[in-house]
Amino acid sequence: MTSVEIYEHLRERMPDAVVGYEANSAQPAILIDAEEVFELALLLRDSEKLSFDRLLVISGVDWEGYDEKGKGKHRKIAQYGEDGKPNDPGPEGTGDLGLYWYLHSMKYRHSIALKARIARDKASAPSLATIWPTAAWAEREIFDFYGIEFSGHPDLRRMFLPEDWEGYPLRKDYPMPARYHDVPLEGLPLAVRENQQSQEEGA
Amino acid sequence: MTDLQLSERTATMPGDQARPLKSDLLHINMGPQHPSTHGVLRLFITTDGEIVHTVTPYLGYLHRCAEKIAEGTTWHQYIVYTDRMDYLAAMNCNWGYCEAVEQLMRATGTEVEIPEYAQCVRVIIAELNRIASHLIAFGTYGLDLGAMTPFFYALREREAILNIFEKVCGARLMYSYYDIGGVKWDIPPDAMEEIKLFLKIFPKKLVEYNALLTENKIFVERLANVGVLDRETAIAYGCTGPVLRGSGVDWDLRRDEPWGIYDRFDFEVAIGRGQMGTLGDNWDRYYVRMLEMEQSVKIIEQAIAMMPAEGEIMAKMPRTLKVAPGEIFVRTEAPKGEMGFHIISDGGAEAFRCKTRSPAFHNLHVLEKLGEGQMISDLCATIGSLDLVLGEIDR
Amino acid sequence: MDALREWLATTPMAQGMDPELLTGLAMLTFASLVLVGVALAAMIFIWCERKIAGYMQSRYGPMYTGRFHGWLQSIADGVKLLLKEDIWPANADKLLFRIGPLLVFTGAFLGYAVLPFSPTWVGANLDIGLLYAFAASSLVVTGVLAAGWGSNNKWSLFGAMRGAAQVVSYEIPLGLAVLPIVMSVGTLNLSQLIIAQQGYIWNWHVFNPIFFFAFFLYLISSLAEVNRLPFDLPETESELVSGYHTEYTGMKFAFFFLGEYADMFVVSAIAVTVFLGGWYTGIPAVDNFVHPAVVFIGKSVLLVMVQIWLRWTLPRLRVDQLMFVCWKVFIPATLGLVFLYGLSRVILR
Repeated sequence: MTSVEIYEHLRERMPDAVVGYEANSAQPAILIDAEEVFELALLLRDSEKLSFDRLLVISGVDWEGYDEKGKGKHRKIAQYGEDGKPNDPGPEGTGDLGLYWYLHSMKYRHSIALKARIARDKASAPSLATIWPTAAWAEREIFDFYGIEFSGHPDLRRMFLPEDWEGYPLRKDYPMPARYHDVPLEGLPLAVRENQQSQEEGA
Repeated sequence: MTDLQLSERTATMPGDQARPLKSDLLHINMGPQHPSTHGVLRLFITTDGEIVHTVTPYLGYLHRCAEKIAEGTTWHQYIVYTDRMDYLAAMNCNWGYCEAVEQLMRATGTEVEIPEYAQCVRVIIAELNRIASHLIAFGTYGLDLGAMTPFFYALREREAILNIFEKVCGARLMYSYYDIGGVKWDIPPDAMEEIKLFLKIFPKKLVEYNALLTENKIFVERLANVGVLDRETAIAYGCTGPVLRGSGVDWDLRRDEPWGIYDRFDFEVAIGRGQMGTLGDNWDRYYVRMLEMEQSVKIIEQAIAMMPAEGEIMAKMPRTLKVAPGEIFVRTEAPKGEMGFHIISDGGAEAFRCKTRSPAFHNLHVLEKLGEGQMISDLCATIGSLDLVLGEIDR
Repeated sequence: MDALREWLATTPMAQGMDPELLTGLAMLTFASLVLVGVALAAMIFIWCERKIAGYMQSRYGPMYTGRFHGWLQSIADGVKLLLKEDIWPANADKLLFRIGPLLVFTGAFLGYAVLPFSPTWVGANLDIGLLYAFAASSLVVTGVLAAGWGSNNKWSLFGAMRGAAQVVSYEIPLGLAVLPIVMSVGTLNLSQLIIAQQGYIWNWHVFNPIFFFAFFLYLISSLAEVNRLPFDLPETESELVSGYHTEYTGMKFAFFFLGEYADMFVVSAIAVTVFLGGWYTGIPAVDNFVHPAVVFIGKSVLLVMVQIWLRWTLPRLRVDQLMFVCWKVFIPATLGLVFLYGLSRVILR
């Protein structure tokens, strides 16, 4: 089935969940309501005509600062001063977060992309880990980087960063902390810095 | 989706069903520094002596923030970072990324026509790197199981390939050879001669390796019926590449969703057939890689035959590349599996979002299922059969 | 040993010495000679192993230390191990950690007391020589367990448990495999076992149809006794880093190494004694020209080379497969051989 047909099929069965269809982007994608993704996923996996048995990727996006004309300014990672606080961290972001699922069917060899937008202050979405087990790790990664909480996830914790890391790095307004447990995260290694300090004090 | 049961062998182990001795579980850390976890991977194992009850991988020891960096570097600058992901198959990662950017450009209206010569060069180099990556998988697998000699033979063949790569682009591991629109440098004539010589010698070496390791009784005993991954679980866990094909699923992106000029090649897709044990065991995954090396040799020979005598290596590209706004997800068949790049462009010189779908990341996920009920030695064997590279898992 | 004592009695310093003291001196001299010999032999074996491994893996082995093919490499390694810092893991059991390597080395070393290098060059011509050799090498198990537990490291404990299980299990087929020969010759005295094979090469026990299979069972069990691949689970390099000797450095580690190679020589020497004709070359005419000790040591060294060869070729077995092979294949096989030989003796009487 082509993407348009899949879109029509879904719209018939779950008109509330399906918000729109992006035909003019590089890859056609179905815009959906993030809250309904669980039921939608069940339909996509179990329906005889669709039979999407593979979830290939779940990708998170922070749409803050996106400007179609390419004039959006990418916020640089904040530099921080002597006191360990970031210089000019910039205002808190207000843009939406986004999720992107790409599904594929082994049986019919067709694939579809689903996109959803999530408000930044209510960063949560249903977890698909019970439908496709591969979602478990993909969602942990997105939680780690974007802070989107997946309800119903069996084991939601950070994937790559240490458990006690603060902040969600891939968000556009993320100020990098100065230290992590006394390890400076920027500049010279700790030993060199302490050496320099003691030399200065001694001199 | 079926529940993976404890394998036959463990069900008959004495302490398994009725446990008269009340003993505690041992919590052990395997890694992050460990000879057989193929990188800085930490596995937290609970075991009752030899049988593993749970395996929990802990990642992030090699995390280098590649995806955040992508949002601050230009499209061309990021190619260098893709090398470092699957560093054993850097050319394939490069190509995956360049292919994604080129397809995004085509879909958003920019004309990108890669010359025929460059297409052939791309295929030759990518398949050579596939052979190199599988050689490491084969060699280190023997090393994990105690057969220390095949490792050296594998590295000896890989030296030949790395010498070729050094002649082509000057580097032995981190190439950054592919560029958006073609490749950076041409293959010099002496490198081409070395490639042809390699293609002559290598199939005989494969016969040697099969005699030494593949059909070795001890090797087969260690691998057959161990780490059995059935078809439904493999698909549901998002496994791709030899891990998926070892379970009998006939799916290879090079044949089924070809990119570049892959639709012009005639090669067989190697799938596991459960010859030495159950379908989907460690041996099947291992043997799929051995067969894939043979097929790669065929593909390279065909590519050399269809290569024009001379041609351009790069399409015409602007100096500062700006990709029109759009979003795309493109997968290519890397040696470890389906490597995907989800790229969002906002029309600027830098990516807005570039996410890598790493095949080894999803292949590692299935270890949590496969590891239950195995012995620790089997765990090492299973990890080896999944062919992990932490660089691409952690990015 | 008697020959040594006689020779010592002729030296000037031994005149007028108490006979007991002289015996003691002879024993001490013998032990020292053997110790030096073992250390030298281990060094040579290690160099051989590295060169053979290298050539099998299509590379040279050591090439630089000592101009000719790195023959000084072992000595250099020995010096390095002597000079290394002696690291103790935190909370290691002091006594056990210390005696682990000593027990392993002693167990291997004790076996040299009964090896018949030549008709006169025997440390102690015991009538239970074979039994003593096997019993002495059992001491290795205690050393392995002490090392594994004393290291305060879960992975070392794993290696030690596996090692103990493996060595203890494989002693049974090891002993049973030589039982038919003992039945045939009628004694456990190692010198007598060799003398029974004098004459031409077909007198050697290995060419007897039943003993032929016993030889191979013995050979494989001896690999398991010495923790060599394909039975090197206690020290699986790729799973447990170094198993029970992970935490050892310096001289203690050197003792483990020495003990392993010493043990390899002992089990090979016993194989040569029982199956391969001992100090006889197999051609009576040549026997007059060649010193028996040279023949004996030469054959043992050849078997050690076979062990090295196997190590670099084969992958290793998993622990339950190893146990399966021992208890369900080898022990029935060796018992079967004993039964078969007894039957053949009764029938062919």
